[in-house]
Amino acid sequence: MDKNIKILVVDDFSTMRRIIKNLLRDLGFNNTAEADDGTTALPMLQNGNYDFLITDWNMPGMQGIDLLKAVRADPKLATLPVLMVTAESKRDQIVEAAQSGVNGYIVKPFTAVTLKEKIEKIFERINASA
Amino acid sequence: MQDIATRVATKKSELKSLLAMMDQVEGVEALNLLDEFVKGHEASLFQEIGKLTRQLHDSLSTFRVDGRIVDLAENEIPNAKERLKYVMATTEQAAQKVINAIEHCVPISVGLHEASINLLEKWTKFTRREMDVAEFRLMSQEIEVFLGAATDDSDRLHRSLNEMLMAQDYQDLTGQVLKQVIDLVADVEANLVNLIKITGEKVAVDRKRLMKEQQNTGPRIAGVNDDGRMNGQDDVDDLLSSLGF
Repeated sequence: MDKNIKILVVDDFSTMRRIIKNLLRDLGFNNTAEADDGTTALPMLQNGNYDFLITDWNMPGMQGIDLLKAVRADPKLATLPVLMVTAESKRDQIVEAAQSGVNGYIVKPFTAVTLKEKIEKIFERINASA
Repeated sequence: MQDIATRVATKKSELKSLLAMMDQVEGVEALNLLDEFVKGHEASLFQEIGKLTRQLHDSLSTFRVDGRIVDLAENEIPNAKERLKYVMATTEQAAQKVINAIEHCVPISVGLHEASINLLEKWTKFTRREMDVAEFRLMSQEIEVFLGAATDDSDRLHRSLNEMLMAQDYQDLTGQVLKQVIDLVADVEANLVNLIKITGEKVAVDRKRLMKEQQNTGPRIAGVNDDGRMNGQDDVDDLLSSLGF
C-alpha cells in the first residue's frame, strides 16, 4: 500500500475531519486534504488527482450518498475507492450505499483499528482485481 | 338565566297582553304594537347571544393569557434554542482544544521514540564492544542531549495531558444545560397534553408515519430510533457480506 496516496476527507464537522486526518497520519498517510461538504468536495476530486475518498453521509449541501453517485457517474472518477464513515446505520442506507458502489462502510462511533482494517481491505481488493 | 318552562310561560303571558292590546287599537296601530313586541323579543335574544359571546371570549382570553403557555412560547423555548446552541459550541470547543493538545504531543512522543531507538542501537553496539572512542564520544554527547530533551519533553507532555483533562470540563457545563432543556421539554409535553385534553379530542398517534416524517437521521440512540438500524460495525459488516459485498 503506497502511503503517499492523496486522500480527501469530507465531513461537515471539522472535529471529525481532524480526527480522521490524525488517524490517517498515525497509519502513515500524510497526504490528506479536507472538504466540508459534497458540493465543495466534487470539484476538488474532479481537479485534483485523488486516490482515495473518505466521506460522511449527512451533509447540508450535497449528501455523501449523492457525492458517491456523482463520483461513480463521472468517467474520470468512476474507479475512485470510496469509504463512507457515518452515523447512519439504517439497513436501507447501507444497502443503497453498497449498490451505489461504495468500497467500505464504517459506522460512528468507530475505532482506529476499524479504520485501519477497512482501508487495508479496500486496497487488498483493488490489488487483487488489478 | 331562567329555565325554559318559565321563559315559555312569560312569553305566553306577554303574547296574551299583546293580543289584548291589539284588540283595543285599530289598523296600523295594531301592526305597530306587534312590531314593537317583535323588536323587543329580538333585542333580548341579541342580549343573550352577546352575553354568551362575551363569556366565550373571556374564557379563551383567560386560557391564552394564563401565563405558562405564553411564557413558553416567548421566553423559554427561544432560551432552550440558545442553550442547545451553547452545548454545540462548548462541545466543539472542547474537542478542538483536545485535538490541538494531541497534535502538539504526537510529534514530541514520535521524536522521543525515534531518538531512543537510535541511541539504543548505538548503546548495543557499545556493549558489544563494537564502538571506537570517537563514536563513543559522539554517543556520550548524544545521550546528554537526549536526556535534556527527554526531561523537557516529558514535562511538555504532562502539561498537555493536564490541558486535555481540563478540557473535559465541558461535560459538567453542558450536562447542566441539557438537564434544563430536558425539564423544559417535559413542561411543554405536559402543556400539550393539557391542551389536547381541553379540546376534548383523543389524538391517535400514528407512530410509523411520524418516524418516517421526522428526520430519522444521525447516531443510533438505543430505545429512541432503533427501527431498521444496525447495531454496531459488526452488524454492518455482516449485512454487507450477506449481500455479497
